[in-house]
Amino acid sequence: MPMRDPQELEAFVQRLTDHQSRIWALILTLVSKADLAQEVFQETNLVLWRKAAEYDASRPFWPWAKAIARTQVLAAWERMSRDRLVFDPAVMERIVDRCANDQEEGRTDGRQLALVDCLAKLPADQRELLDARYGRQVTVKRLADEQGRSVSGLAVTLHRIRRALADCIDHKLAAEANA
Amino acid sequence: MTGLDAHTEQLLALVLSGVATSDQFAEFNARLHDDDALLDEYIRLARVDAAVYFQHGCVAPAVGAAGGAAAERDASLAGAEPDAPPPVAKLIPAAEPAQPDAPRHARRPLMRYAAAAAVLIAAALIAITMRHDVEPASDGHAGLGSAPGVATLLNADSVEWADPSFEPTIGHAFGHAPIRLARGAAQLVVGQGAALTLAGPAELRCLDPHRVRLDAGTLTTFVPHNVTGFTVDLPGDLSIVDLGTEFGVTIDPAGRYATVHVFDGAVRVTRGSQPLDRLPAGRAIRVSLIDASVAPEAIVADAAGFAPRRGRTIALDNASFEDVPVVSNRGWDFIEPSGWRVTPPSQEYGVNEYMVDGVMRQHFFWNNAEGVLEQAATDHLVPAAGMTYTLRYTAWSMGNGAYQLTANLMIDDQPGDARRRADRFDMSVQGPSDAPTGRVRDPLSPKRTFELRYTTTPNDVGKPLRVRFEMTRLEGPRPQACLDDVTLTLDPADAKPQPPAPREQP
Repeated sequence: MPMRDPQELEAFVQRLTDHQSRIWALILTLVSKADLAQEVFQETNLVLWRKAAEYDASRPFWPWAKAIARTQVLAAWERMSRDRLVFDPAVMERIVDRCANDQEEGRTDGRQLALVDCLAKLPADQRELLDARYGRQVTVKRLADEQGRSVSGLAVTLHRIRRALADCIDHKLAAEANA
Repeated sequence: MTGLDAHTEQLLALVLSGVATSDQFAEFNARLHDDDALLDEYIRLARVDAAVYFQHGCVAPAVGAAGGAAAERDASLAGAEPDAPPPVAKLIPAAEPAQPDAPRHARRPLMRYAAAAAVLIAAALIAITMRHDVEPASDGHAGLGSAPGVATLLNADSVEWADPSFEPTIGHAFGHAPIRLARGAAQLVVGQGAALTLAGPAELRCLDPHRVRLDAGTLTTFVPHNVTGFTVDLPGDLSIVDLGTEFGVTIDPAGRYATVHVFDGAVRVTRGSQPLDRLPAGRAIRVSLIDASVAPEAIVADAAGFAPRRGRTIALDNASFEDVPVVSNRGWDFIEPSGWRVTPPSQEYGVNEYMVDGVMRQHFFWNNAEGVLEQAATDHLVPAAGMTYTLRYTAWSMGNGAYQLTANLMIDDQPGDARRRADRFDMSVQGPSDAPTGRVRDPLSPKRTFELRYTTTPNDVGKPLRVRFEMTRLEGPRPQACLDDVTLTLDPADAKPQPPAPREQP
């Protein structure tokens, strides 16, 4: 980390932290598995840190970080594809292409902020389910066992909640864009 | 309405919930190749998934001052849940205050996915503070508040801390308080890069970025060449001063004496202001901690019980295969590798690097081109006759055809047959590839690690050393030579060189 200027260093850290949610979202979308995504996310952050001195502060951070995240995902694919369910590189490239126009450079991730409001609108039982699945990291199978439900049935329930949140977020972002 | 049929919706639900079977996942993967609507909906929902995970991991971050960061970290440790994943430092305060009636998941930062950012921020703040320690501002004030710590925890597998309630996480910043281990070994980095391995039962205090005090246990210290004067204090007014080295020190359980073993470079041992001994590599002494009148006793140097790096690594700039991936370039970038000289100049070589299991990986390749890649060992002359250099490298092929890769250790620019090793790589099979580029038409040979050893003669002493790789195309339309993991170590001739730490070979 050869950056010399503390202000420069702080500015880099600021950009890095500002983009954490977006980097995480891209990686999770590309690899689809949260445990693998977590490994890649941490590796990506370390690479970004190692390359901090190479970052040109006059240019947007997100394309630079996104390219590095993509490389890390491909590296993970190289070592994981034999024993994990991950997309092949062609699908990953399609996903990256779809995200190519994602040029959000704001200080905060609007999607993340919109989610807070959308979560609050969910019924209590759905919030509890998300809390168990995403907060306490309880597996879907275990949750299904606890609730006496089938795994696929619970997956569909989670899917409906996910879609409701997606619709809510899209609606809020669209409303803000039109405001 | 998404327009997806029920079967597709089911697949989407199973994949996003992580419960799809391999067949279901394969079907979903195949569908994503050409179904734009499904791809868009997958991305839309996966981003929600990511946001929910992130919401439970941390909220939109903002960087505070160093002191605030340290306070946050301590708070996060205290608040770790018993059934939660291993806790990680939380340095990221919420950007928006949680509403009193907000759901539990919206208020509670879980920290799991904040790990890397937290450690990075800690490192950044530590680095800034250390810089102020070394180069204080002219007004005598550090610019960023109080120091968050002197040492950073790098690894603590199987460690049992003396205080069971103390559960530091990777990246934890230690201050000046004693670090007490009941058993196991913890790795720390202190100041500007001194790497310590503390084996318990042990007690260590970090006095400042350049000095630690060992009161019990075993400590292995590696100090990079660019850091000098790092000091380990011991009871009995003893000090071990680094002279660019790697050494181990252990205190016997009764606290009566210490043994000092030097694995590389040299150390100076002092008692108070009185120099006791200067130990070069391969020497060891036992010194009394309780009786200053007892002269140090020379003993046989022994690495057993310590954790020295394996072999002495000669400074090659092999970590400088620098590359910033470029979005528009789907393949590797063609960038001059700093530290290495490539001849003839060509656009047909490249470098790439990526992180695997926390280790920076990079490789160099010649793409359908011949050439030489070489560099001089940094700040190094052959020190003695009868020493063995071991050059290790990993090579493989990613193209069609055959090439020969010749590795050479050049002493005083004179190659010798004893130092040459030539390996032929043949790739002529068309088929799918595991290449990370996804260019499936290229075959990929297994990665193989090679070793070239050379024992020095009296004629070599005092001469510079270079490492040279030469790629020669033998036949075929598009041979591509890939090179990685170039290390050069130096051992006594009678020592069996230790292989580098095992790394995954896809």
